[in-house]
Amino acid sequence: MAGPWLKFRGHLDNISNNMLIGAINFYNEKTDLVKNQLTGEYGTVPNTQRAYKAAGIGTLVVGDENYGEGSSREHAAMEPRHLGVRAVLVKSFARIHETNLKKQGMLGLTFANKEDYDKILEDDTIDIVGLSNFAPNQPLELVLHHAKGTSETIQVNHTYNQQQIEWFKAGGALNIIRKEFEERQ
Amino acid sequence: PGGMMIGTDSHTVNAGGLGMIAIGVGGADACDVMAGLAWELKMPKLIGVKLTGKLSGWAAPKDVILKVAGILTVKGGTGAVVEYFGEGATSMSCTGKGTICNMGAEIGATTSTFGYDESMSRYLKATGREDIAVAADAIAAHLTGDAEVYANPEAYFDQVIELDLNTLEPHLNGPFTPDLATPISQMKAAAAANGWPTKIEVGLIGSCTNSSYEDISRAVSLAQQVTDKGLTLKAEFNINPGSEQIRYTIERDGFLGVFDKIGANVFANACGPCIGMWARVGAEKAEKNTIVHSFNRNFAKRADGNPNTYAFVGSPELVTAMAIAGSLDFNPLTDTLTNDKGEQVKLDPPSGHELPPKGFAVEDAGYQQPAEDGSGIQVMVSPDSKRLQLLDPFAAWEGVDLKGLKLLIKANAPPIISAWQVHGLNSVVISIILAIIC
Ligand code: SF4
Repeated sequence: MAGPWLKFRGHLDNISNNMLIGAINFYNEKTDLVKNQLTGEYGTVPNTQRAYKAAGIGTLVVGDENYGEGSSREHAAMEPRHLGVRAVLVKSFARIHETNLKKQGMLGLTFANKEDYDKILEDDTIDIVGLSNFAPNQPLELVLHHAKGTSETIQVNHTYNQQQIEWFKAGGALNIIRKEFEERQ
Repeated sequence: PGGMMIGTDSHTVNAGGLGMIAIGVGGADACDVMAGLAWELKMPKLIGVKLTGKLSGWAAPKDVILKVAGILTVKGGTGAVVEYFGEGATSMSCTGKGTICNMGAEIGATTSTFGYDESMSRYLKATGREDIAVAADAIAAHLTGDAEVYANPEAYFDQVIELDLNTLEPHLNGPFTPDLATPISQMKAAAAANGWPTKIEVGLIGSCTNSSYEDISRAVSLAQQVTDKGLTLKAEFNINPGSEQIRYTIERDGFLGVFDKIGANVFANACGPCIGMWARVGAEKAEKNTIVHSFNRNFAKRADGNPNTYAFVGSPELVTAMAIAGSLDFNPLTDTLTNDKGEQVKLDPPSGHELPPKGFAVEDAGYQQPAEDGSGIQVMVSPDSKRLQLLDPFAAWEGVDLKGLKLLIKANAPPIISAWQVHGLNSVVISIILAIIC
């Protein structure tokens, strides 16, 4: 598995073509085959995400328990960030990956109520609400707009401290470092 | 000494032997720190290991950590910093301390460390860092635990272990896990009870863990006895020096010649067999087989990819003795070997030098120092490159709620990890790739 991707480890756009290709889609139990809501067609995860990116639409990735386990690699967080995923909502995170998401300016969220995982439907459009008051220990809300016209609101938690919230706002920790560096010059 | 260091290899912890707090981290963390960001860690527990007595004869620093691994297991150090202290600690060489701290990774410890003492001062002076030694000597009392702490460790550490080095036996740990500790006197019985193959096919010494001048000189004192006492190596025996400096120095001092004479192989200065990079004759063999080495990890398949290889970890001197005897049944402290005249001979206990009497030497250490002032350096990447790409900064948050996101994927229960995550192939820095394996 590693072989073909090894050579792209220094090229974010190319290596992003392996984003989540091993993840199993809850709705069809297949890897690397997800629905493009804009066309109704199924495609690979990276290609589908690139289509959303081209259309200027952000996306949400939903995961189960211990999401990101085994991944201490920063690319696991940089790839979705690069391709325009805005938030990752899971039942629980592996610690290192959660931190890496924060560093890349992503929103890493957990279900306040794990059963809400079942409320996420394949054709959902999602709003993340409360970001203007994004603060440590303050849950956020997710509004799920289902395709059939109904919507429901669920609570989601996060573990961002003030510093990490600054990372999110700046679009990633590196942007803050860069700014501080420039100010020092 | 007294410094803090992070590195992208789990055996960064080696530097605890120089009185540092040195911790292995992921590549992203290291980049952040290099760029000036703080690195955060949940406050670790403290485990104190009080070493009484002194090492002598066959016992080596390696046996301290092999014994500790047996007590704490591969999980016992998780979330903890292990601090060694006591007469046994200060009387031990600096590089021996490094070996102990190195293998702290195998008990899951965040890091291991020793208070500053004269052995570190000697080592710094011998390795061209007299200025650091002088600076550290001037504040030596601040670079080690307070006397009250060491006198009454139970009051300050979350857990205290006491080891008497006067009675510490050489150990072999394994197979398949570094915490299965067997004193050499009980190895014969343990091997028989567990069905471990007793014939030793290969002995390996060296690596980042155990190729100090002391290690090699003590191993050489045994190798010399092979010649002097009319013995022959019963197992293949290989040495991989941990650096060009040590290789050059031991060559100059004639040690490589001694190894060569008894038919041992000296490998390149690299991880080599420690991560399975060597031409293991018989690695494809389906039969169970035994090797002994002085590295740090011995999980199944690590050293040669063969799940049938039973790998045992021991001190370089014990591994050398075992390679000479070729059998797990051999206890060099008590047993004799038959020489070419049919006589029974015993190996004298190993002896060596903490540091090279003639000093270290090297012609080309292979180290390239970073530029003093890197501001003028331009990184040029071809825009057509398929393999390298400069990063564009990610956009800042728009300042409003995120509306109208589409669900990209709802992933099923783990394993949801994708190819890159499992195989971790994301960094240009070779040490990061090593971190996955080391
Ligand atoms: S592979 Fe072995 S020798 Fe190389 S750094 Fe890791 S532990 Fe040390």
